[in-house]
Amino acid sequence: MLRFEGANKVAMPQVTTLLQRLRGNDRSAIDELFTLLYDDLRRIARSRLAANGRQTLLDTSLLVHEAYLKFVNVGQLNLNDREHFLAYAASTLRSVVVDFVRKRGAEQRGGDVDHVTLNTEVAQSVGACDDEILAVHEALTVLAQIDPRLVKVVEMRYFAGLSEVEIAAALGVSERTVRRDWERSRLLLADILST
Amino acid sequence: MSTKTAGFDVERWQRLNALLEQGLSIDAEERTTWLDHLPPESRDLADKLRGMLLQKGIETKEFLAQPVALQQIVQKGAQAADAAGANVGPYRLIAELGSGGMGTVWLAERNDDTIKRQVALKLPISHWIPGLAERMDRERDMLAALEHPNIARLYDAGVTETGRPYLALEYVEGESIDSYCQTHRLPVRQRLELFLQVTNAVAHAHARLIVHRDLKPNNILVTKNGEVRLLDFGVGKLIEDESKASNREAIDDTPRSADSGTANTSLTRITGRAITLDYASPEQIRSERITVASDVYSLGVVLFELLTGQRPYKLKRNTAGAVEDAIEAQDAPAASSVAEKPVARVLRGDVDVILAKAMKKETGERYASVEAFAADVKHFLKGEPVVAQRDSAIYRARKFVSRNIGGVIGGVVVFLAITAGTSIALWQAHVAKAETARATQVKQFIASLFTSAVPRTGEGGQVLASDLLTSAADRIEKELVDQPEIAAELGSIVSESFIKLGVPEKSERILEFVLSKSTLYLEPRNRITLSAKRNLASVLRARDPKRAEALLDDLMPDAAAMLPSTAEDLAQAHMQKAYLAARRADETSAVENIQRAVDLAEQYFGKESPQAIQYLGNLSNIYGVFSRRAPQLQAAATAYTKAINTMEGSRPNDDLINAETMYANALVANDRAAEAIPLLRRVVEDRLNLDTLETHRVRNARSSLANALLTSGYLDEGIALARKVVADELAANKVDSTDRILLGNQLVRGLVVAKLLDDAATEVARISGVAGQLSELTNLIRDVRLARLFFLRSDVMSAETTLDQIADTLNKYPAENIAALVVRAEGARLQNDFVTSKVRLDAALAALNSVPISLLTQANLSTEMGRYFLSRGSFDQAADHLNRCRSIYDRLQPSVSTLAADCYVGLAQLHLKAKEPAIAMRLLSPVVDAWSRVNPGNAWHGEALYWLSRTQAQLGQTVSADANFARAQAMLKRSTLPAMRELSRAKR
Repeated sequence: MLRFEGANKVAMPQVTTLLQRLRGNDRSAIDELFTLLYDDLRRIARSRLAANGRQTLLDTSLLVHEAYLKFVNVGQLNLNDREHFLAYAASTLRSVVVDFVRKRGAEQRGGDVDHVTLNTEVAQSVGACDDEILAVHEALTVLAQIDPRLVKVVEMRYFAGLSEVEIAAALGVSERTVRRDWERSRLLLADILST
Repeated sequence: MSTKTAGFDVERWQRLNALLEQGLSIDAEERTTWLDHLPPESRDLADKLRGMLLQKGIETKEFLAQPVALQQIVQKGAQAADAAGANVGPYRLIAELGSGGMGTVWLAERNDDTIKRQVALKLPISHWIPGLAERMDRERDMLAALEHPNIARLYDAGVTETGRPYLALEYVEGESIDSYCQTHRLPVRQRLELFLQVTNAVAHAHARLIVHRDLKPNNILVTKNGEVRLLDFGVGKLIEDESKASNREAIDDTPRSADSGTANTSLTRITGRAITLDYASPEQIRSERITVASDVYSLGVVLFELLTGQRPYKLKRNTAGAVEDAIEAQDAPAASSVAEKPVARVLRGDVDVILAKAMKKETGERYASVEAFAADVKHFLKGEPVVAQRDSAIYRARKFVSRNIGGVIGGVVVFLAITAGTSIALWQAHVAKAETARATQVKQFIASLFTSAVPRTGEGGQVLASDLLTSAADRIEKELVDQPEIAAELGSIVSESFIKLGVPEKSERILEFVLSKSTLYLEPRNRITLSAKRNLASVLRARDPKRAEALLDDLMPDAAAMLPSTAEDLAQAHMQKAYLAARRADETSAVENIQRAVDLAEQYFGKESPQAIQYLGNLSNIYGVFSRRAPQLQAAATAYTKAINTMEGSRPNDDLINAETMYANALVANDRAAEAIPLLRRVVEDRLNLDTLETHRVRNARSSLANALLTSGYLDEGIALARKVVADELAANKVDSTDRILLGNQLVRGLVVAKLLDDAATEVARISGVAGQLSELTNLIRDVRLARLFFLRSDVMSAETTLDQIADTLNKYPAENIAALVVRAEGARLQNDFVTSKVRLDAALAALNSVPISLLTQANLSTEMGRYFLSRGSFDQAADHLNRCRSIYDRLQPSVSTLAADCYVGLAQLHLKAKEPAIAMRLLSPVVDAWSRVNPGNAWHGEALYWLSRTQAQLGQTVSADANFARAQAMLKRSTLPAMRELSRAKR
């Protein structure tokens, strides 16, 4: 393959190690993991979209799963850490998505021109629209003060498109609880947004 | 939105949240009552709650119902997002190769049919620049004239009608030089040689007044053949802003003032390509004139990184200013101070000085040209004085002495050389004398090896053979520079000794050395060159198969011409070639070559000679690689019979062990694993007796035994043995190895069969980062197994993605393809997705006609077919398939193991339906026993127990039935698999 700048080859820390540090409440691990995942998710998103042409709508759950597989394949992540990983990946994906949406907004207002860009544009009735995404993103900062676990559920379900089974496993609760949490999150978010 | 909290305080939302949680947990029809009886302090939220709980199904039904999806959008204006098939200027885009801050690169071809050739089309981000088109035309002609084997051609550059610049470059498939050095673990010498290819290319361009300006590892690719290709020559200049570029010509730029405005613009540009800055010279940072000296500097940084694995300036790339300061102000550290120990030893001294000279801050103090830089690197490689070194008599004398210690034994000579500085004369005189003293010197040299040997790794003051050999190899290279014939001869003895000692990898350097000397100084056809080539090929086999094969092709005509004395060499070469051909899946060539080795051995050494037996064993092994099971067994049986005839009395015997192993492996491949077990037990015993230590050969023997045990269903012993082998390998070999992966794969296989999924996952993680040299088929089998592991963990997405990624390779291996389809069918069944399961099974059946598959795969296929029909209520068809898998397992396994669980459990269900609980009981109890032995409490154990309890109920054993039912429920509930969870909810 012809290489091109941007292929960052800095040795990456072990994802599993980072997850362990996280469990030990090491805040700096969050930032490291974020940087690692952020770049990766963006890259995967780009290449996926580039490969499929521009008519494709990209299911975000594909992104986190692909990132997961990639880290497993290079030996940086334990298979056993899957749920834990998905939870953090979902949180990172929220930033990726929001940044894309904001960037697009900036471009429409005549900001910087980036050659290839990603967007969360809606094809009729599929997926969420830009405004909704930004609104939900901001409302989540309020929700974080009310019930942090709900934020995780929303990130996993809405931003990362994960299934209830996966979310339940990641949070260590039952699927029933996830369903109720999701219901509660939607109600609260709708309320926050309509206030 | 951000001020929402102001209108509705958080505390109130928290109360709302708590009430909501409560309200949602009660049944819908009781919520009205609950709302009516809210405690007084919560009454203020009653209306809100009522709205949420009672209307939620209507109003918010669509809200957030769809998760986010990303879509690429089309840019407005000229720079629309590109897509395959689109045209840019005269090019049609084929596929995106990469993208970054500077733009994108596409694989493309001309759309006007003038020349059919694929190019890498670079599409830089660029605002429209006046006069760009003219400038591109002008420069294109100059750059397109740059023809050199190590430079990727620029075919075309231009601007489309919409003002978009493009560059068409030669499409190079390769790896960047830094990662190439790393993945191939090149020794310093070869890194330097690779670097010399780079300097050749740069010097060629400089001679044509073209400066690269952007030399960095990412722009220097190495092809599969080890050839260097420089990318983007002069491209940096091409896409630069016209207003700046007009002031600069290719080489003779006029100096630019470093006024702040210009510097800033330039920095912004450079920091846009963050990595590039690390290789930029101080004058580039300062936006001053760029000359060949700038390329010399960048090459210095590149070489520094190649040799040490680090960049000279280490900083956090916080601000552009910090990097700028570092490059302008800091001196680069000595390369030897940052490199790892063994490398540092080599770098200390000459290489440190060479690099320092290349990376001087002042252009005038650097090498005047790339050639001068390259010349010093060559001096170093030859052990000659480097120009960059201080020009001192002491330095030269030391260099002389170190080159001549082999001959210069008297201290007087050394003393004279240092003090008088008449080194050259002395050296010449010495060379003349050396000719006559040759024989004596060899003797002295060998003697001195022993007397001067210092124990390094040996215990209790004992010198290990490998230490001795290592120091011998070092000294031969250093001290016998002037006696190439002797050096070659001794070197070849040392290398053979390394190989006999079981550390062939240590012989590589000395073999390269021997070869370099023997091809130059010895007659064209000689045994030393021949065996050096053969041995080097063997050492390089895994890492550089191309070169290995080239060496073999090279030596074969010579070896054939020198028969019969070279029969062994020639046969060995054919054998090695066979394995190399097998690695690239060339069955015809592999079989031809190994058959030729057999023929040679039989002709020159006899039909029952150890050599003939060995190559017959290899023949069997090669057939095995290509899944030719019948000829595999036939060749192995022939070899084994001959080995028993001639060597049975001399146990433990290497050749007999090998023949026995091959035969046992062939038995396993031919579904006769149970027969192989006693043979392999003896192999392990003999091997231990022979090697006395836990060598890798012992591990391999145990691994073969573990394989036979696992295949025969002796899971407990098989897994335990596989675990032991992996642990032994880890203990013995700190370095990652191919063995590590193979043994790990084997363990994973056992663990998956035993459904010890967490252990399997841990082992997969442990081996997946290991770099090894495995065949495509081995990797394929591993990936299919990984997919199965994902399925069993209910991670369908990862499983399917894994299989999708290997789809193309699977098509090449029909038997594995069928196995993968069965894995997919099983995965779907466990999700209760019987439609998908059937689709996969139909595909497997369709592929079955033409392909011979192993009994185990046939059993798996029948199991899944049977379980499918069972789930659809087609009991007659289910019975056909399940009886079939049962008969296969009964044949393969002396006693029932968990391998057969899915088949037996399915069959038991049929018999329950037929009200034959006694038969069901006979099928289920061994399965339940097997699970309790291997992995008690897992979902499959639960499944078997569940059906056992149903059986017991039918038999009227209600007490046992109740107990087992409860146990089964507990096991099944923990599973994430829908099929298992459904069973956990099943009523009595």
